[in-house]
Amino acid sequence: MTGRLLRLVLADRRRFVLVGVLPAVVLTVLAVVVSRSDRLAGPDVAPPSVAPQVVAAAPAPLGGPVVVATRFAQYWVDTADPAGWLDRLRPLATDEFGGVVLPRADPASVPATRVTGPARELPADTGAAIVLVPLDTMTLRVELVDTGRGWRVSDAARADPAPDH
Amino acid sequence: MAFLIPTLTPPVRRRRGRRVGCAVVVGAVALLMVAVIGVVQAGPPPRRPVSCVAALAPPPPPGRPGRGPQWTDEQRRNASSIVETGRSLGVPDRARWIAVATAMQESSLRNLAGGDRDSAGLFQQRPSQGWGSLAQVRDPVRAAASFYDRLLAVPGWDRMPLTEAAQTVQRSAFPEAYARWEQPAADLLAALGTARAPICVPPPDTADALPADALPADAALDFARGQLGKPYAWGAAGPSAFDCSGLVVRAWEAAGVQLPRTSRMQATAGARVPRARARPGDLLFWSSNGQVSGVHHVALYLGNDRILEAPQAGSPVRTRDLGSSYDVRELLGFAVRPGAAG
Repeated sequence: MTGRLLRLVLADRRRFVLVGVLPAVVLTVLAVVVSRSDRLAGPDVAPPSVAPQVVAAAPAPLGGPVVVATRFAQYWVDTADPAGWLDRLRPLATDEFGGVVLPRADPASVPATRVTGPARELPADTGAAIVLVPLDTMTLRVELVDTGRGWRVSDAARADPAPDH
Repeated sequence: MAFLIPTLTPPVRRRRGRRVGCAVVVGAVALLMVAVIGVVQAGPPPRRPVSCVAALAPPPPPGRPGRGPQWTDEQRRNASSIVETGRSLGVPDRARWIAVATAMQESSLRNLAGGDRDSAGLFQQRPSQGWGSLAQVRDPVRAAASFYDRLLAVPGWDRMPLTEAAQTVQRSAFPEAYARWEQPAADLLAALGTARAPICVPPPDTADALPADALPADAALDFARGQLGKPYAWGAAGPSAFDCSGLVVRAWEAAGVQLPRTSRMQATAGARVPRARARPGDLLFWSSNGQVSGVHHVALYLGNDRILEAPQAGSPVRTRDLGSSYDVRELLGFAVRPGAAG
């Protein structure tokens, strides 16, 4: 059955292009378009500020470090849709934190469910920021850098030195 | 595929058919070769043990308090119990070092009655996630044994940075959190005298201190040169694509030295020397704010103001001269020299 089908398709070059190559090209183009429109359709994000060929880079979030850190914390505790968790956080993260560290985090283990108060900025190097965001069970310590394309999260950790129960 | 194609040539157009068939067979063989080469390249890299961790400093001499956290008797007893359980199970020193660091992060080495959700004990293991009953996860010996059991089942656990190995077992929301316990765990193991953490020999001060062919940097640079032309991909650490820090990790791994996975953490892993005194194999860093907090790129120094790097999306692994306006703006004034495998 498969052999007959293959023979039918491969016997003629035009048929091969029509049946084999064209759908693959169309599907690829469609996939790229869909994945890009997904990125751009996210809530409250600015239009892309980077060159269009950098498909992996997401639109830069608007606002200073406290705004970006608070948004990051809100998305971080929202684990109702684990499959979309990383995609929501990544536009707020530096390439390295979003591409290397965050993918290894398990959203099912996020030990908090909501942001409970205003974030507080600590002294930091020029061009960098440290923001504490209070959550219901802990405080999230968010480090950020001004990447030139907006403030992005470069690290997120528990503010307390260790859990204390 | 190569077997199928000859039967596809219609017999009536034999002459042209043979030519086309020939071309198809040649194409198929070429494809097959590409596939084979792909498989060979994608296969596991040569297994050389990672013998030391660049970010670790030698522990303070016995009897001296040293840096970092001071542990109570209770915490030291719990660490002892983790280490001894490992010894009785015959697990390697490296596993005992990872276990102590993991318990430092999870419980501060205290046998906690509870925690997040149903977590409990030294390792904050969860009965609902198959770690055993509440009594079992609160039994230090049993908890440590479960940890070792799952750690040693992780493929390549002994080649991973500590935090990656621990995270694979613990599945926490903070995958980098275990890294900061590398040194305290190494120091505590030394103080307990029951296991040795993988500490590198401090690098020699001058290139003359060792014969040139004994420098571990040579192995790192040989590996890196073998990757020239491979594509850049964020989050990739070989074998077919790299990001900047992933390339540096694999290069120094080929020399037996383990570096942290991100450029920012690499900037603090090893001896720091002024950039003017950088030697081939040393790490150079680029930062958006002139500080380690803004580090976002790392490269291997080749000497004579040349570097080898995985630059950015769209540009393959390459060598280049320093001196661009980007370098003038962002290159940090120091280099990091990873320690030598001991």
